[in-house]
Amino acid sequence: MGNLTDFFPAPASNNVIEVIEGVADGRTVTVNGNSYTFGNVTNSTSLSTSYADLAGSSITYTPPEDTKYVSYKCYFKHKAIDYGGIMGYRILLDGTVVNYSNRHVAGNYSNGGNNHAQFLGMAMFVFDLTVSSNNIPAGKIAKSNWTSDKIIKVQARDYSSSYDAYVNHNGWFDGSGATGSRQKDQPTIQIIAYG
Amino acid sequence: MSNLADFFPAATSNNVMEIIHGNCDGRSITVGSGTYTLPNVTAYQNLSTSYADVTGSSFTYTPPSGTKYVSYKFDFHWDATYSSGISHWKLLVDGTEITKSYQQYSNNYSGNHGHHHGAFEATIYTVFDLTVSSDSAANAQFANWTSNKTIKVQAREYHSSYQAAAHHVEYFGSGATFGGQDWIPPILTIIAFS
Repeated sequence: MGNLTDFFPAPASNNVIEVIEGVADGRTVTVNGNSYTFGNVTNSTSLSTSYADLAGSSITYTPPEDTKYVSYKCYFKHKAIDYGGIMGYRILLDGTVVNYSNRHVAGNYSNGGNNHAQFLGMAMFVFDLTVSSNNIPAGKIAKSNWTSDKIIKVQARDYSSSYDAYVNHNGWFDGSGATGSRQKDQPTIQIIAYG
Repeated sequence: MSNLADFFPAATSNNVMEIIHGNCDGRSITVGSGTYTLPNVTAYQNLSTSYADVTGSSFTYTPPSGTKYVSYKFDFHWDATYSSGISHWKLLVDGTEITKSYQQYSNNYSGNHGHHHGAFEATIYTVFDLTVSSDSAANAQFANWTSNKTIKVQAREYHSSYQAAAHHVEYFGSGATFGGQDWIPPILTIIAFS
């Protein structure tokens, strides 16, 4: 006679523990009994020359037990206001900048006043929780040190006031200037916990 | 009396067998099929007018038994080093070009200069089909993928007047670099689907 597990084997599994994904429209997503409420972006933002939180990018998260890696992605819209609209952006974990997340997005220099450049910005990082001690600027944090809520978010700024940029903004749509819901572009946030 | 299924319910399943996903900083990731060490990228890469391997893009993989599709995604930071940075990118598997992967990235032309203004996140991406009956590497189709294959990205500039770089980040805040770092490692994502 065989074992019960011969007839009822453990289910085939993969290394994805949970995925939390949504648009920053104020929705609440419940995963494994925990609820996560995304930001509600109602307007675009003109950046300044000081870092400020990118609206809609923030999520408060505690990874499940046995998580080895946490992937964070924030997709947002960039639009040049002046010249190419050079903007720098970075990810922070509980207020500490993750250096390997630093990026800039911009169009090439345009002095014709048209400032057409618009791109999808992507802030992304995979935090490594398999380490034994923290090095958050390198994106490494021991799982034993991430057992309660931490805030992951993006901050952004203009390179200078001469290269201003919008975020969460469409400039044109269907052949004319975008307004209202066509102008506003809400970011999309994704968290994946891997075992 | 309860049903046996009350105690042994059908498994909740999906078609994702494993995901290898990480920044190319030399980390090792263990999943069901083994342990994989991602490349360690520590500098940006200027392209030339000849194709060269893009740092961080190489990944050697044997998918688990039962895999029907393998997704390969390489996310990197693209930079216009000079003028509009017209550049060509392609994916190779064991040295064979995947024709559906050809990609060209560039920014607006704004004169002859090396201001590095044009920059964005770029992706080279394909999905291998393992459900076919015969191999066609150029079409990303493999009937029997049971040993290691190496997937990588190659890139070149259109012309020496239109230069581009991978992993180069020129502008943060008001300085040219952030903490002296003007590069950022790419991110690799491999997914095996059943």
